[in-house]
Amino acid sequence: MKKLVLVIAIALMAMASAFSTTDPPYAHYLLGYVDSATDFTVTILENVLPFDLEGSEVAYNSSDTIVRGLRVGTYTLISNSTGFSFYIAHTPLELVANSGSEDGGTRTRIDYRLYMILNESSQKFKSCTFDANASDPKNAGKKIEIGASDFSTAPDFSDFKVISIINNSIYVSLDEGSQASTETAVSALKAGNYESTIYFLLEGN
Amino acid sequence: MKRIAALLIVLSCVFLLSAGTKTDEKKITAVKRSSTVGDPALEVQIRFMDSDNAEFAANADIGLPLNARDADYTVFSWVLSGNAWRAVTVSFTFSPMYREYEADPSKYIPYVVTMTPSSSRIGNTVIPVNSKSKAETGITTDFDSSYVIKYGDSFSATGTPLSVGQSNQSASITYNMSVNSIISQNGDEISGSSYDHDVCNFWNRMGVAVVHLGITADGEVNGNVVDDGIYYANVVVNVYVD
Repeated sequence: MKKLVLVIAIALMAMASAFSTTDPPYAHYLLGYVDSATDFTVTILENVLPFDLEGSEVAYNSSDTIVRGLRVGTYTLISNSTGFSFYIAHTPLELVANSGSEDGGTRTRIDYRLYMILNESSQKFKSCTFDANASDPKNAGKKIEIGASDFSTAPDFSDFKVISIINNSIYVSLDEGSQASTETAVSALKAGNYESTIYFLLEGN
Repeated sequence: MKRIAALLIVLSCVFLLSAGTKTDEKKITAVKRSSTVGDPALEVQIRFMDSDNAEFAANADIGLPLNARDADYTVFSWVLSGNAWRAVTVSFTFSPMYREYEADPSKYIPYVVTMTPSSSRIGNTVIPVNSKSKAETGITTDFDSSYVIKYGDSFSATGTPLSVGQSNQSASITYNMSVNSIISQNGDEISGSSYDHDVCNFWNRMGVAVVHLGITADGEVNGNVVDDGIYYANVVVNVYVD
């Protein structure tokens, strides 16, 4: 029985190997789809993590139209169907227990605004703060929902569109509702390491 | 020499399977520095990412492409972070790459691993490896506002690239955070000054491990065809703070 499982695993690896990322033999990819398809990938820029909660880069952003924050990742979204929905929601940044000295404050969590850039040149974006139901992003109260209608400039082939969003940026800035409350919250945080989970769900047809 | 952490990672083959509805989750991390001026707690941590930049835990398997051959493959990268103001050493010990259920050393697959420090950061400012250019613009400490400290970002590597055949091999990288000089607010360096705190601003030190398998394009090692199967190599990572 063990041997049978091994054989199946090898077969699945063979199917998946065409999409494996290797460095450096394959510098570019050419993707093609038969029938409708949607897909996404998210890359977190680990070289900026953990970021400094007191850094100016992640300070409260008072603008509703301009993104000011720390670039923490990128995402790629590809679809040749208009019938897709991409949901994103996240938890707050919460203190990891027994991390650091945990002195200097009373608060153990802080909210932030997550920005998903829809168009890098126009800086069109969608954003959201944390939601308690973030692990179910489709049904979260505060979430980002991205659909085909958000990309009006995509070529329209009568009944379907081809959407190709490659490595668009993901930003974060701390957000407790206002600049004053955010600054107060930051100064009241316990010292230590904080962690947040961002959930992604893509439904396509 | 103080041992901070010991982690075990197993290299092996993994596979992915896609479906109509796709989900994913990613973690982002942040740090609030200690507010105890002059004596913050010393912190050092290390995290590992796979070739897709997804973090994986100790004891997790990370994979090479199926039928990997005579080429370079990024196996994992690491982020060493903390506030220790002294030498911090990351050591890597790699085992021979053996076939599952196979005890014959002649069946091992030789490989070469290269560990390369890639980038660094202080606070939210990324600085190039071996450069003080950003730091020279003035990154102040919390400990004494009358000084600006230029952080050195030197490192020394021992044993890399590492050739692994039939026995364990080790390499280490020492990030010498204690290499620095102190200048006053007007930019004049203070000769012979000593600033010997245990900690400094929070920093990151990145690095990447690239493996090159000793398998020919025809799937042979030393003229012998490599048997089908799953091959493993273990790597033990230790972090030491002087």
